[in-house]
Amino acid sequence: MVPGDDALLANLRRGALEYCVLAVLSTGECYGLDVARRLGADGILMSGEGTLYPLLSRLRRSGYVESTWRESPAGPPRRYYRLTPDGERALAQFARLWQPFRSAVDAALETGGPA
Amino acid sequence: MTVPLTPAADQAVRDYLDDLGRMLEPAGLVERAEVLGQVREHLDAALTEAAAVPSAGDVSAPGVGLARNALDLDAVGPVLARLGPPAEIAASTLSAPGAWEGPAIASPGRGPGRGTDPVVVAGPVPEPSAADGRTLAQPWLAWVVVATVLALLTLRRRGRASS
Repeated sequence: MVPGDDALLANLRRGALEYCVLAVLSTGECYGLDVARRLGADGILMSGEGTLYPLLSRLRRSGYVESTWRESPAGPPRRYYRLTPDGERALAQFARLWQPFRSAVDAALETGGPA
Repeated sequence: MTVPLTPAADQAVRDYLDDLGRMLEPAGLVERAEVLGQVREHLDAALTEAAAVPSAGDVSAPGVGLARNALDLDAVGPVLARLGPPAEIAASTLSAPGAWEGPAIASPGRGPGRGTDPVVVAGPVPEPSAADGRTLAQPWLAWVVVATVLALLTLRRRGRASS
């Protein structure tokens, strides 16, 4: 039986979404809601904004992300996340591998395999 | 929540957080508290944003400025919907051990060709769990076996040398 779009997307997100979070944070520190809005806008990378938080916890425990509390101009203090040097290295490694990976998948889909 | 909510909206937020807290019980205490705290912060920030948008129910009183009505279910519902079902967040949290092993990153100055460790990995260490109790036991056992074999070989050589 062919899995539905949601199941297929869930599989595709696995292994890539963490790096998308790192990529967002590479543009500067952000708080959770901001990251969620940027990645969840189209529903492709995240099905629900809440799934970001287990990821952020994991990234923090892995030492790729660190967080600090800041006062907010409106509302309660916010926890801001930023990349650590290990996080930058992880993102660079993923970015280096992603292009050939994507090209290989594209080639397989278009012509049945790499040229 | 720091934003005033109608009783029904407040109950909806409480129910959401209660459901999530209950579903996160199998997670470790620290992880459960962390994820719950982050979701609570998210809700606080998103509801603060929603409250900043004037609605038809807001009234402007002379000399008082805009008096905001408490956010109702119509305002809170979409925020909760965008957050996704608690079960989805819990599933993402509970799938953590082994689900994402993290990238293998060569530590600076310890890469191949420098005569150092052949495998240098910086990433999350899988936590032992009931589902995979061998995670920590296997490397430990391997080292015990290697150490025992080396000790036996050393003793044998010494025995031959002395005889």
